Amino acid sequence: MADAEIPQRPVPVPDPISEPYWSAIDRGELVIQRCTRCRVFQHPPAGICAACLSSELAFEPVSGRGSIKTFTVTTGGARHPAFEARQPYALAIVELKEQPRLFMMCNPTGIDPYRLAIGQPVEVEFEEIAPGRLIPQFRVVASSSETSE
Amino acid sequence: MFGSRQQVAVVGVGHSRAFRRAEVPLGVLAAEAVRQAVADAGLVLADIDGLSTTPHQPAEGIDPVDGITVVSPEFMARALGLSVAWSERQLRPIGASLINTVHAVAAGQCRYAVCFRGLHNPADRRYGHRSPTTVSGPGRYTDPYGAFAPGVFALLATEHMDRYGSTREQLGQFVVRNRRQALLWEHGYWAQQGAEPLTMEDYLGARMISTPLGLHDCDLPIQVAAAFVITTAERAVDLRQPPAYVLGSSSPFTVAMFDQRGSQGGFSALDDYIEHGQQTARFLWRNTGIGPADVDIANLYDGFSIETPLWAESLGLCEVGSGFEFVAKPTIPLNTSSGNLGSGRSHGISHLMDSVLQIQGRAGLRQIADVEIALAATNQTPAGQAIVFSKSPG
Repeated sequence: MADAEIPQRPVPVPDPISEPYWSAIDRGELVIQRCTRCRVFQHPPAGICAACLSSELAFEPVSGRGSIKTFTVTTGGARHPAFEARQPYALAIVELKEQPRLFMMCNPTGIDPYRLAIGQPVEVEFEEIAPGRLIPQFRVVASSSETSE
Repeated sequence: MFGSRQQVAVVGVGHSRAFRRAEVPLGVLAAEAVRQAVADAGLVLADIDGLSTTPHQPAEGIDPVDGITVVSPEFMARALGLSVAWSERQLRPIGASLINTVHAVAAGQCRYAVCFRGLHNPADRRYGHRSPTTVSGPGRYTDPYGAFAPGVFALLATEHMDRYGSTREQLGQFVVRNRRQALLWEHGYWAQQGAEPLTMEDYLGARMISTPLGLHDCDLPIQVAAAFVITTAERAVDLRQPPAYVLGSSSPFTVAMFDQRGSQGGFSALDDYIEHGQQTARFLWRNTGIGPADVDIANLYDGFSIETPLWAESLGLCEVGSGFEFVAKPTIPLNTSSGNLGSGRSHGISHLMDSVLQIQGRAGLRQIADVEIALAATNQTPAGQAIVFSKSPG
């Protein structure tokens, strides 16, 4: 949600390679680029498969589920006015369940930032960073063994 | 092909005055450092026929101005009236610039080369601050989330502490020691400002920046320049200072930081970080013919305190997972220069320079007895540079 009082965060501008990814995000769907030959997912999207050098890449819907790989809460010194205004804010790397080390960055939601922990299960959601442009975020959700906030 | 092993040495060093901000133009400071280094080696400017530098401003978001925010090889050649057979505009930190200067000298393209670096800290704005409202390139996947330094380094510290039970107090011991050592590094900001040593209480009580990294885990941006004179071992013996021989180096740069793909795609987390550092280490030990147990002192990069333990683990100076313990209670003299955390954000200048001075026996109050092998590492472990200096030519 854009707030007139708070400076604009950097809004991603797609290029031809990443356009299908951003279009899907704008529809509220998480897709990840996958090699149709070796079946390896890669993110961010690229022009060629870094694993087998195939150019036959496609964007595949993924579960949107994963876990917190690591996180930090920035309370001072943010190098952009939009984030200076949002301090304290949480930043996390999420590992998607589809593949080891398939990472995405996010500002985790659904939890007090100071209660974040490595391994917490997360689920994708989408945030409007600017009119008509969404970015993926991840919400900490309850796992089978623990309850959420 | 040529073998660079022990054929080349650092024979002179120069360091400008250190300022908190751009009180003196960077070109003036860099020229000051180059003149000093050349004189230190017992040479004159007319002897210099090679130049390498990294003409990139550390502070983003402003247009570079040669001589003010950056210093190019062309600027230096013009300023000092140099005529050079080789020059390089390096993209990577000074460690990479120094390594390539060694190669140029070893290959015979130049005879007495200078590697220099100037770092700008703007007078009228905060270091590294920028305010774009759109983003292209790899930043599309990081910038909208505010994934900037030091937060991206804090991510590594969180993971390390969670996995290995390492603590802020361990980093604190390292930082407190650096600030004590900083008073002995005469080129550093703190020594020149006469800062009080830091206590553990100060460290733990300082404001948090990005959990778990606080104010004193972050280096202080400064305006400074330094230079190194490099020549062949054969020519080195006739010069004024004892040579610091370059035994070998490694700078693979097969993965960048958080903005590019790691080995299996995605952003660098702790494992990526260590694995790429280990790649640097593997080739360092292969190229130098020594191992971690042979190292007498180490100056490992510390733009943020978390970086040094990860270098120590990657290089095999300690076990993977015990890096915090190592920096708290090092088994060899660590960061004798006081590093960035002690001397200010000089992007590896102090790490390289005190490694050289310790080998030469010219480190004054910092001098460690009988330093035969000194290891310097600059930049982060992925995309880092590691260099071994030796007192003996072979």
